[in-house]
Amino acid sequence: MKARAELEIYRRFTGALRGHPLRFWPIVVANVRVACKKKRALFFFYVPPAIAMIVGCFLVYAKFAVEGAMEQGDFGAGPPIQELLAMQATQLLEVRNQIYQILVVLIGFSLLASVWFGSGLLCEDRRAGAHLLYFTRPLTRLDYFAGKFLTAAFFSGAVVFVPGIVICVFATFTSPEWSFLKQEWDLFFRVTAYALVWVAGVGSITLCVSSLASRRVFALIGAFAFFMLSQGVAQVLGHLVDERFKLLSPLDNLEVIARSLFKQFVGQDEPPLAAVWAALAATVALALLVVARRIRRWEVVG
Amino acid sequence: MSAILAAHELGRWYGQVVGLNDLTVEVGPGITGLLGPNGAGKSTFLKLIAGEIRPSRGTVRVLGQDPFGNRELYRRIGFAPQQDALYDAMGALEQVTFLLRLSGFEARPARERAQTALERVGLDPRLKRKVKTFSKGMRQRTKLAQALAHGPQLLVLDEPLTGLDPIGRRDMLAIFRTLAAEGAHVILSSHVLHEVEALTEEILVVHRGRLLAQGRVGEVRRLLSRHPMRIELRARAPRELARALLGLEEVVSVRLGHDDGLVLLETRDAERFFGRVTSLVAEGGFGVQSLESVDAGLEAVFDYLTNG
Repeated sequence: MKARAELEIYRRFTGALRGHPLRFWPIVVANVRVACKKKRALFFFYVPPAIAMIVGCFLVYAKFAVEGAMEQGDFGAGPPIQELLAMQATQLLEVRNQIYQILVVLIGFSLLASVWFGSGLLCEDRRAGAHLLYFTRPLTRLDYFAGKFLTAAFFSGAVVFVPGIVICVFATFTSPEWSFLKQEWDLFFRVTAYALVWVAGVGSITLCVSSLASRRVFALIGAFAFFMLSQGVAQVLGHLVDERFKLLSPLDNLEVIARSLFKQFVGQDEPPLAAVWAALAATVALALLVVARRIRRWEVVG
Repeated sequence: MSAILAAHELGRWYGQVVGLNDLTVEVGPGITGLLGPNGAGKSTFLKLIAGEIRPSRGTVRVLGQDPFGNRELYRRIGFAPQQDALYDAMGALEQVTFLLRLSGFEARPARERAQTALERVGLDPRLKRKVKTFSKGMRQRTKLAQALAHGPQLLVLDEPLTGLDPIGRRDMLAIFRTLAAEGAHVILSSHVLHEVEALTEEILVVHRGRLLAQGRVGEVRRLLSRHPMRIELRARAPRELARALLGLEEVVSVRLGHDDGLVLLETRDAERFFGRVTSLVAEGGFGVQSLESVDAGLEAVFDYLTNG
């Protein structure tokens, strides 16, 4: 046997590295992969929404199946055409309401998932000093933030966006003569828009709390406390002092936006929609400002 | 010798706390040891070199460039911080691959380079264990692997020997030597003075945020004229030898040791002393068996510098 020794340790890299336009992408992939190792949390946060989605699809199918059967006269003589059109309009409206109601149920899980998976994203990096490894790479702080934000958005958005879109797709294929697609096509965009607004609101607040906390458990408690307390305080002050205090709650603001997006009833005692949008935008901007400042200040952590 | 690192009046403070103050230094190629007690400013200096933090005043140039926010330069620097810095839920290979992806490598080359780097530092890349189950030594190796995996020109290592057992330290020092032999430059901070001494002669000593000394250990020692150099001689005729040594003007003091044949002396001009002692010994017939400078080592130099 020929003698051999592994003496080479170092091989200087002489090739050219491609400047990747999505430098944050490996962060998203790595963080999602790490989070996906938490099987119990995944099961708890994603199985109920999956069940809700399946039930929603089934209900949509049932509605359109009954409608289709009546059109074909399976239950005796078919109703007149006007009645059929009115019935179809009612069915579509019910499907819209159903999608909204399922989303309302799912946002609870989305909130839990976002806070659970997002609360450690910044504070744990800071605690372990992982940012020291990040920032000696060709990576800007904006890339870093984008990677972390998209990770939080992935976990919260998945619970809102995926079921909503799947139910819409299901309704498209089960509705007679593509009536859902013809008359309710905008629901695809509304679901997408709502998911984006939701992840922007919840994700930015979660990251903000994470950037302020020293440990994940504190961030977890802090984020839940913020959402719950802001809602409670806003409701109490809104009823006792002035309705405009309701704008203090990001969750309530998101709910009002959801109702407007899905053309649901908005009560007279609600603040104006423009004010709700402005309040949410201000909250998100403030949260992002805090995160940006904290990440920038990390250079002095040692 | 072209400097790989040049700092000019470099200062960095954290609010009211001075991390580093007025440091002017040039570091040449090869291995350089950065020494100093806790809180001396070593980590601050290394972070400034690695571009982690911005100087509060002065300038630092690494491989001819300003390191802070210099993404092109980050490709040429490998940094292993003192902190753990690793994700507990990841494996070593996953971790190093991920960091290589952040450096700009495509998925497959990143994985290949990560495997090679882990093998080089003595870790099995097929190891499925998560980092949280790693020993301190394995963590240090993983950190070193991520620092050298992208083939940097300069490795900046903050306390890479801390927490390692003697065998781990020996292996790590061997890796540093090989790295230097292969053409990489290494700047490492350490508390383990004798092992740094075994690794390199080139040192920087910082204390309370200031540079106390730089250069080769022997040269630095010679500059410490306030502390006469102590030399031990063993001879068959110690008393006669001591008497003869007292006649040399560069010898400050001579005394006999407790052991038989031991003579302890202090000199302010070691070079001149060594030049004259040879002929003295040859002519006098004192039966000199050994001659040893006892405080020319790094440990003594470090003590003199930091304790005054």
